[in-house]
Amino acid sequence: MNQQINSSLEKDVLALEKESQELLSSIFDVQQLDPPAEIIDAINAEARRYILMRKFNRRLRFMMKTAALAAGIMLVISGGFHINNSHSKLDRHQVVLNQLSIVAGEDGALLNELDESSTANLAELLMQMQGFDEESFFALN
Amino acid sequence: MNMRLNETSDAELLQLYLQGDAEAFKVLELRYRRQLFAWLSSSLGNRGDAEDIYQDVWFKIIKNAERFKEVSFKAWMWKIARNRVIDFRRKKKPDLTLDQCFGDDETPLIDKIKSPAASPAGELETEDMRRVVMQIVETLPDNQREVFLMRVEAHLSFKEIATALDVPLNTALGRMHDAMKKIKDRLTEVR
Repeated sequence: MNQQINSSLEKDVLALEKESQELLSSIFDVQQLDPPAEIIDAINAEARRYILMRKFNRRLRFMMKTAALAAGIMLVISGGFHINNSHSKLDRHQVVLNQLSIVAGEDGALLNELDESSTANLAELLMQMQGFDEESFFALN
Repeated sequence: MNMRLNETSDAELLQLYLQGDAEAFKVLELRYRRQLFAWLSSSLGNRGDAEDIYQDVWFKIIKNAERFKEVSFKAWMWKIARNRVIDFRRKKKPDLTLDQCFGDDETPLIDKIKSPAASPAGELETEDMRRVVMQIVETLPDNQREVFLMRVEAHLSFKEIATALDVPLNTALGRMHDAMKKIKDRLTEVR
């Protein structure tokens, strides 16, 4: 429906234009003015400046992305080292605790050489590792 | 100038420009130079203002070239030009008319714009007719004058006019129809 209106209206307008075509083109097509050369030069200079700025920004963005990627990789690698070190430390602690546990089981005298607070901490750790709290551990033993 | 670029579409030229081809931009600017400048001169009624706005329009096109996603570059460009003209008129008051004279110079603006060189005697009739038509165009409502000038001065299609003005095609056609009718009727009265 809308298209029909458009096309009939367009036909009318084109017919009107055709009637006045000669007159209108004699009036409007005679004007052959150009803007001054300085204006054209300024526009083209701005166009070149913008393109150069765009290239520079693109390079800068690429460099920033590369730097960010490198920093990310470094972070991952150092994180890996850190985790590895932590695991080694935990393993060592585990060995020590196991040995202490065995020693404590065989001969409690050795534990007496350790100071009181570290002994308590070790005992608590040993209990926790076995899934006991102080009360339930002693209730069982 | 590069022959290959002369046959390239507006959108492709803009794309080439964004890829770093400054020559493509030159071709694009040249392609619409006269149409846009003539339209701005008629719309603003002052060549000096038209020069400033012409430069502004192209600066804006350069700045927004990456955002161009419309169907027609021409319509997009005219939308930018029209908005710039509206802004300019809003800032610059009182509004100028083509028949206005300034200072000691008693030549109406329309004559300065339309007749860069003196017209030969044989063209007087056409000159008179041109003045009459331009006076009639000046009396048209803004929305009709706008469409009329886009059509006859810039040779935009009705689709491009509708896009530039952000109105339905039907509205653009209706405004042109009304403008043409008024001009025709008034010319008949004058004759």
